[in-house]
Amino acid sequence: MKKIDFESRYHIVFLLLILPAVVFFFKMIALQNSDKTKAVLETSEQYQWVRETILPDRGNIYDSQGRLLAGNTTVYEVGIDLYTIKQPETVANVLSEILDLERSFVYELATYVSPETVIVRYVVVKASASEEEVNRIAAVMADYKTRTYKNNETPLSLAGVAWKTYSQRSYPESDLASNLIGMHYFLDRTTGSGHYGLEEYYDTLLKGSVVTNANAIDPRLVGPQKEPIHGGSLILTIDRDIQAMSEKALDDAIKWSGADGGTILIYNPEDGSILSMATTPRFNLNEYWNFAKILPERRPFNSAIGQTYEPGSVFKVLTMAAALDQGTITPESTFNDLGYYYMGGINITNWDHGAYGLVDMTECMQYSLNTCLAWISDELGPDQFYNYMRSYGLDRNTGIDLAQETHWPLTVPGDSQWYEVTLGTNSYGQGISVTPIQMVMAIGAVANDGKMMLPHVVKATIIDGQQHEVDPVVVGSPIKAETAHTLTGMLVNSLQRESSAALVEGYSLAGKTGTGQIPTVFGYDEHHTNVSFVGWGPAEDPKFLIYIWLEKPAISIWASEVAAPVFSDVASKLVVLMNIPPDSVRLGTGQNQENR
Amino acid sequence: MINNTTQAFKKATQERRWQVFGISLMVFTVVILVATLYLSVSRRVAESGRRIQDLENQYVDLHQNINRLNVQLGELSSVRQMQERANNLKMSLLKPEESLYVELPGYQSSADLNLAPPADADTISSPIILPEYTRTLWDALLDILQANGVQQP
Repeated sequence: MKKIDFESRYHIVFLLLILPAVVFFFKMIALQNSDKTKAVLETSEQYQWVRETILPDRGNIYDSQGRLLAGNTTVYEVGIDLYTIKQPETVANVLSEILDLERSFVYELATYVSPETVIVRYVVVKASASEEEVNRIAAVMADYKTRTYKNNETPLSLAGVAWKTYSQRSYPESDLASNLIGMHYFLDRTTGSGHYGLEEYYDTLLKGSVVTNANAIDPRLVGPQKEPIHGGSLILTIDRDIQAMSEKALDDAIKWSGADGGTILIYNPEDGSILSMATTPRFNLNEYWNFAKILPERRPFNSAIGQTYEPGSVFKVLTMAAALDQGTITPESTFNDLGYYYMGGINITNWDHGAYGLVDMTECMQYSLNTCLAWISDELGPDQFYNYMRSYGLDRNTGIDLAQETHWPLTVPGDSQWYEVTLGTNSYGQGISVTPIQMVMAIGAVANDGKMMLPHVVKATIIDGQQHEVDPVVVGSPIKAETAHTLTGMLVNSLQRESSAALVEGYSLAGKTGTGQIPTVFGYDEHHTNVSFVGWGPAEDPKFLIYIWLEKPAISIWASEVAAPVFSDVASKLVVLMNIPPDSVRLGTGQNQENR
Repeated sequence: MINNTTQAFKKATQERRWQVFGISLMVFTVVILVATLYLSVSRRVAESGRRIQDLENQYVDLHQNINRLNVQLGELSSVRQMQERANNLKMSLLKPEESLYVELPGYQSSADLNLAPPADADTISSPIILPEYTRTLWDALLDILQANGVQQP
């Protein structure tokens, strides 16, 4: 056997060593570029970052004076880290006591065992704990750490208990204007949205945009964080003091009259802004989950925009305006009231079944004669009458910026439900259903030189730190300015002549009562009515229009006895809150108030 | 191979030995310097990262605190609270006939509520971070070239 020399042996050893090295080298390259390795690398990347979803602040809601009606407060989410918890019993004892929860519930969470499919590391014990509760937990935690334990005693520990702050919707005025503001389902943090009122209508603007940031665990990789786009804010036309005053007036009126419910709307006819919208029932928005218990079944959230009713004689204002505008009648036109008016095969009678003889148009309104208004509508004709009703917007929603507005379809000639007598009954507000907001917008034209303004609740929005004013919108001009002035004058006179309970000393106000019968499946309810009053002032330059509706008052069925005094009460307080001096001061015609 | 290297080192002159030793030491020093520099920069970056995280947390806390205090202020000055205070002070709403109106020449009622600048306001946007801190070295060179009238490549 040939002996291998030293150099050859050296080369063999060298090759034996270098070959595995080369194999290792190429294997290393192959491994680096394999799919499995890439997957492992991608997974390891994920562990370097913690994804955090940042919820934006919901936009604030302010009243017309900048006072907060809806904002955001800080609440704490208290939870348990199941990986680090040491003493579930101690945690259950402490948390159940401080957070006012069942001990068994907390213990169950503290000892939660993840199913095989999903790994659960953290469980929420209380979603919205107060600052005080969290401070108490922190104090107990500190006490356990600093306490001196005896030799055989196990140190108590709240390890695993953690909390995190969250922004949560809060309504500092609790139930004030609740039917108008609506509510935000704040307990559902990620998907909770606005419901009813402004919270629903402006939900997209108020909610902002969520962002998800990838936070590096390695501080060297910390980069700029994306800011959530916080929601826009709303400045309302509602004045908090006027709203509170009208809500109190409504509550007092319901208590005094024994009514089932009611609505008081205060509107500025010049620009369509709603100054106050009081309805019943109201509830604390901070405990929104109770609203279903408080709101009676089938009752809308906001009856001012969501409930239709037959308004009765307040509707005569619109019929009279149409006839005056069309030139069918003048204020001096006369009607000989025989106590009935035959129309469509039916005798239409007055509210008291009386006959008033020869009356002019102001007296027609003063005595609220159904016969007179039926005659006027007959003279006007159905085509003209319903054209005017359409131009008043009674066949559609007003378009107010509140969610859940509704309307009742207008029955017109040609519809199966329309008969000849319908024109007569419609003329004095029976057989026709409207919402209070529809009436306010339509009658607002009479108080605003014939121009009908879109009712709105938002005066301005604040988006990206800039205030955007909402311009008033003219919906139409259903009547001429001259007609509006004439009718306002007639209604001022009619109120004064009848010495109405609606009058406010020192102020010229125009107004009209309305007692509406309530339809049932068996015909009209003989024992109950809806009473309404619409009034505006000061007559020569109206700054407000008040609409009152009380449902089924118990003390009287007549609007003149129930709704008119409520109007007077609201108007007398409103002129003070709105700084409207009496006619004598404002027009400089009477005794100077300084001499009083 | 090791023997060869050892043999070569033994046979080398004193000068050559010092040369090899010097080069090795220089390489080692450079490696140490680079490593130190890397660690130092890493430490500073990590410190800054932590500081940024702290400041961001502080910002969130302050933001939430402002919101919470606003709500608290709203609750303390709510209608219910104000009415309670007014009642305790025996105050009531004025009746129209009790009011006294005095003419004040030149008086103007309060202007419209402005909680933010109007949308059409000319706002001068001044950068918070100077461009020197954000532009790249390349951008800076281009700026200098442009300033000297040299055309961009």
